[in-house]
Amino acid sequence: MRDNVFVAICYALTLGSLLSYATVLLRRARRAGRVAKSEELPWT
Amino acid sequence: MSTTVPNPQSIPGTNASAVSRRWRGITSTGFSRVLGVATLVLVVWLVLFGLLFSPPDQTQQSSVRIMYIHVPTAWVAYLAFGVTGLSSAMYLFRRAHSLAWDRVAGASAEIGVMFMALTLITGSLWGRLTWGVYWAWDARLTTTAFLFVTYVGYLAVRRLGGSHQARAKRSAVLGLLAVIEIPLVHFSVELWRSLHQEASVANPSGDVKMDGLMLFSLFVGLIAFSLLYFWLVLHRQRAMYLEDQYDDADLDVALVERRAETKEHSRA
Amino acid sequence: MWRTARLVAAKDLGIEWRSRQVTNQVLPFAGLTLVLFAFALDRDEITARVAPGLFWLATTFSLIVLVQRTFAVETADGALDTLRVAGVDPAGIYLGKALALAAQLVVLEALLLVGVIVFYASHIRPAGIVLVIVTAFLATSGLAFVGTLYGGLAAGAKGRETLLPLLLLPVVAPVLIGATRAFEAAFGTRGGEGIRAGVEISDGWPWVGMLAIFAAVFGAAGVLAFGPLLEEA
Repeated sequence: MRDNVFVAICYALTLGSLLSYATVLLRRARRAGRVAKSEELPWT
Repeated sequence: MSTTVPNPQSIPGTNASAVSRRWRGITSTGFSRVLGVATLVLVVWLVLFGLLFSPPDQTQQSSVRIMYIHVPTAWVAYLAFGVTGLSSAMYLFRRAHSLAWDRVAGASAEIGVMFMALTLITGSLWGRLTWGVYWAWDARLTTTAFLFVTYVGYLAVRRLGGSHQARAKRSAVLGLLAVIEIPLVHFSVELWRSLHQEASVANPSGDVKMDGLMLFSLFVGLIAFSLLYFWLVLHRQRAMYLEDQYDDADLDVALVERRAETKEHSRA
Repeated sequence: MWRTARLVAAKDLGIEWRSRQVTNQVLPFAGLTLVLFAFALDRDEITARVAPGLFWLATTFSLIVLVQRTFAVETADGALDTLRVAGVDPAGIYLGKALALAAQLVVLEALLLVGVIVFYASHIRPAGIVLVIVTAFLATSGLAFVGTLYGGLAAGAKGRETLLPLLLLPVVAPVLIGATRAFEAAFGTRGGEGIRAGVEISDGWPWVGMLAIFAAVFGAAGVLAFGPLLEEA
């Protein structure tokens, strides 16, 4: 029983924090990118 | 009903291309989107194989499923810190002192710290189930914890401020110092434990009998998290580029305002 | 380089001698930590047993205070910039500051050793005296090299008071481990029961080797890295 709870915590915690990190990352990029002109970005 | 429903997200004054750019994300490209989709598919696979398809272990029962998460996060964290060290060296020893290398180093360290935190948490939960304790003063565990603290310090140094080049140089030196510090810490802890304690905690994967499906699940986890790492680094260092530009733009605006002010004063 | 180092060290020690900040503030601080450890650990037999560890912990904490101090002197009125603009060899500055720091640490350690013997009833085995001196010398060099390097890294930055311990403490962990184990061998503590029964003096020498490697590696790293660090400051 405890095994399953711990396994569930591990999966939820790992995937949850990775997902929220990615979300925050994209949002921050958007905020910082307001002044950037998309034609001038080195990767476009 | 053929009337177009106004997009609830659209703000008055933004045109269609801005909306689509906002939706796609400013840091994404065709390549990163393909990478992102592949990562998502593999993460779903990881959950399916890790939780459903792979059999429970004979001795560890279902707690072995933590391995499919724990080992890949540890691998990615070490990979990330390796990339940080390498990029720091590239920044410092290349004549150009390109800020691009500095941004890769910073992005990689940040992502590595996150993966390392996850490694420590999942590892201690797994340890509680298999060894009975959350933590053991094993050489590998201790080194990992030191690695984590060291790179938390590295990230703090990156936030110290100053010019971009100053930040880059300071953190590159620190990134290389971390590379020489870690073997020393590992060596000393190893010497400490081996001198004083009988065989410490067994290699966590050593007592697991891996059957084909378990090995495959672990493999899926490693690929999935590696791809995720590349996707995150790609976006993070682009976001850093934008943040640096934003800082510079702020500085330019402030300079222009300041000059205008002094001109007014001199006229008055 | 060596001449610069000597001059910088003499300058730093001269400043310390005149301001008496080390003798009036850092030494009492180190002594106080010894007393507080005794309060926290309560039992006499425990303090006698962990005395080597407490000695090096007190030294490490004092190191942080000393490093803050040695760079506060430099950055307060832009003295470091002046030295750099004057074209003084950064490796010389680094070695000089490390030398001055090491000299202060040695004074501190000598008094702490007396404190440990008085408060914790420790005694050094006669055969362990050489081990104590060699260990203290190498550990002090290592601490001074690392402290000067990371102090220079954080110098002049905002929030360096809180940043320095975060950077420094993980790096000096090998010194803390090695020097403590070597002192345990010299003191003959941890005899009797437990998993660590019967520490021989010879058990201390591998640690001396590790301390030597540590000091050499960080000394070399500091000489190489201090120049680039000063340039940007």
